[in-house]
Amino acid sequence: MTATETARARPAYREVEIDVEVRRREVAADGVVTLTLADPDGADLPDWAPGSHIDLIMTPSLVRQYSLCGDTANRSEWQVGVLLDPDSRGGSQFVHDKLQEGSTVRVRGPRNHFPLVSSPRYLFIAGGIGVTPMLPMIGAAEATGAEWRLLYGGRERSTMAFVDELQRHGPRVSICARDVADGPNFRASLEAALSDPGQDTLVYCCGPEGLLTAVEAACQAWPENSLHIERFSAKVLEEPADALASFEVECQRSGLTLTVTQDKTIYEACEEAGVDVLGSCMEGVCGTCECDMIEGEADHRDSVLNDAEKEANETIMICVSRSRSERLVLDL
Amino acid sequence: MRPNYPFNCWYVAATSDEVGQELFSRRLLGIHVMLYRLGSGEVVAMEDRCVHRAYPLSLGRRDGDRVVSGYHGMVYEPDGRLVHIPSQENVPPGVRVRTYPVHEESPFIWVWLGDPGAAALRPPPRVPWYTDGTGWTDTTDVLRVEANYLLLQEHYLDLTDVFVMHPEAVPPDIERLPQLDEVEVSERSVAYSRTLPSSRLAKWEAEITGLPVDTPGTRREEGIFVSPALHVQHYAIEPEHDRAYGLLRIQGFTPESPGVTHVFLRMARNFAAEDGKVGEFLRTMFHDWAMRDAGVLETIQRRLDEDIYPRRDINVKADRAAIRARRIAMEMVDEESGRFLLHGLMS
Repeated sequence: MTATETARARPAYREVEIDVEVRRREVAADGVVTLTLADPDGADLPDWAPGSHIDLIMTPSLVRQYSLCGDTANRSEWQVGVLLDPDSRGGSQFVHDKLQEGSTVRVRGPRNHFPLVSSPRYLFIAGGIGVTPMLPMIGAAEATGAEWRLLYGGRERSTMAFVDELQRHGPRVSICARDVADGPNFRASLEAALSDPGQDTLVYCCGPEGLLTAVEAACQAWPENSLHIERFSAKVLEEPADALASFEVECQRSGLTLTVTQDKTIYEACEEAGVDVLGSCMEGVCGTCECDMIEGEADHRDSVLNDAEKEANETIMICVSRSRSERLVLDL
Repeated sequence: MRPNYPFNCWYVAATSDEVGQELFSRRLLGIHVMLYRLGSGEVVAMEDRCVHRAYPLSLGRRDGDRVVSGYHGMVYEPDGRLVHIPSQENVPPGVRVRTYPVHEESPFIWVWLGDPGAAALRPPPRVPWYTDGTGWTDTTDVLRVEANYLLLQEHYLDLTDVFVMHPEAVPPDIERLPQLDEVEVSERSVAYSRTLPSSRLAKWEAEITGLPVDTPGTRREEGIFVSPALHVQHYAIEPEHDRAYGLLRIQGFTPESPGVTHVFLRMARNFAAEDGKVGEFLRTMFHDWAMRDAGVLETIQRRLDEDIYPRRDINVKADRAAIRARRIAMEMVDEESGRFLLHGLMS
């Protein structure tokens, strides 16, 4: 067994996984169902905050993420909105066909990669089923008295879920359906709303890739960290294909360049070469071996860094993490 | 320095028996809070500061459900409204002392000191295993520890100190704590569990169960970081051919300030409900346990306070639940302080 296999054999953390029952199944729009999930014995479900999502584990190989769209104060029920995607790779088809009232399904989480950061003003942008995480965000903005607007775009009005309840908020909400000729145009509304960087405004956007790309481009001139987006993408459960079996690590302060082969960790390679490294758990849990990264793209395999920190590629846990670039330059 | 605790979180303000007709004051998250019970029995939480001069309202007196300041006699309604100024006819409209949402679930009185609107988004936490209390009998204890609340949370999320700090509590045939079975996480919680191999009973276990000390049994130990304000540990002694004896160590951790924490300690048991001696034994034992822990944590806090430069201590495998708990707490702090507020504080 190689060192990396050892490190992966026992995950440091396991996410909460429970069986829940479908209490209610409601048609929210053409092709969209809302499922209300609850513990079969009525036990409390784990706490969550706006922006959070869960995995629905339909079969061991069919796992899909859905944003929670209910009320954070309701501890006994969760809600998810599911669009039947005509190009479904099985997930939404399964939900629509198999999950009826009284069915049981396994869920994992919740986890949150789209947290609502406190702000006096929000601009929420949703495309299609991307509206689901916006519902609890709007609830939170209302409760704390923040100013907010929602731009909600979709193809046909009849396919857009939660329109009626959203319209209760009046002019804060713009519903832009392409098949409603006299309604607001989504693209024009977006351009108008994003043309001028808002003071103290955070933008939250969820929807199809085209929308996210357009909003990202339009927010270039906005202050850093104004834009928060949530992508719908199937979670990569397998080892990323581009992880390298062997790569070079340059220890800049020591002036040494080492080759890290498949059978050892960066930590081990450094130790063998006499580079002064400090490590403790050797499982990517404790954070003791954290090193600053100067160059390169890490293959982060630890449980210390969160997703944003992993993406930032500023530090690396050298006891388990590896490299996606041929060369990593570390401050060692 | 920015405090490392979230405000948008329910914290224990007091135990039910601490708050009665008298005006009671305690500093919570840096805020002096006055608590008292209305004629109806409902608890009011109000900032302990007269709007006129900063004199504590708790040093005044009650007039029915109203509070009268002990300085110039300003009178306040339970909702915080200023309704009478003895020296002038006109009461400035809209002037009030801030009041805070309260939720009493005896023996804990919870308070929300964060964004008032956000309280409704998140109900106070429930105590795992305890549900509505059926089958459990509690004792309560209130302590003040001069250490940051995360030092306490972290301490109780890793019990590998027991061999050094509380050796008499360890069952006699256990020489080493087995690794945690697993650490289970969700967005806002961290739970750990471990199963101890069979051992005869420790003296205290025999004392509370009434079983002979040579009774063999396994033990299941589980702990949950429910929120930054609540830690619950479940310990079940499972003797062969007998029922399980369950204990809950429920701890509300409420920062008084970044360097001081109020600990609301409840010891609950699901056996010997009628036996007051068992309750008193557990209360005393876990009070002494907490005091010994507090001594260590206070010493650590003093050392941390002396550091001129922030230093990084190493972690070990057993810290993994604690590391995750700290991260959850810090994420809650980051989310509520927000980019703009944070910027404002730092500039």
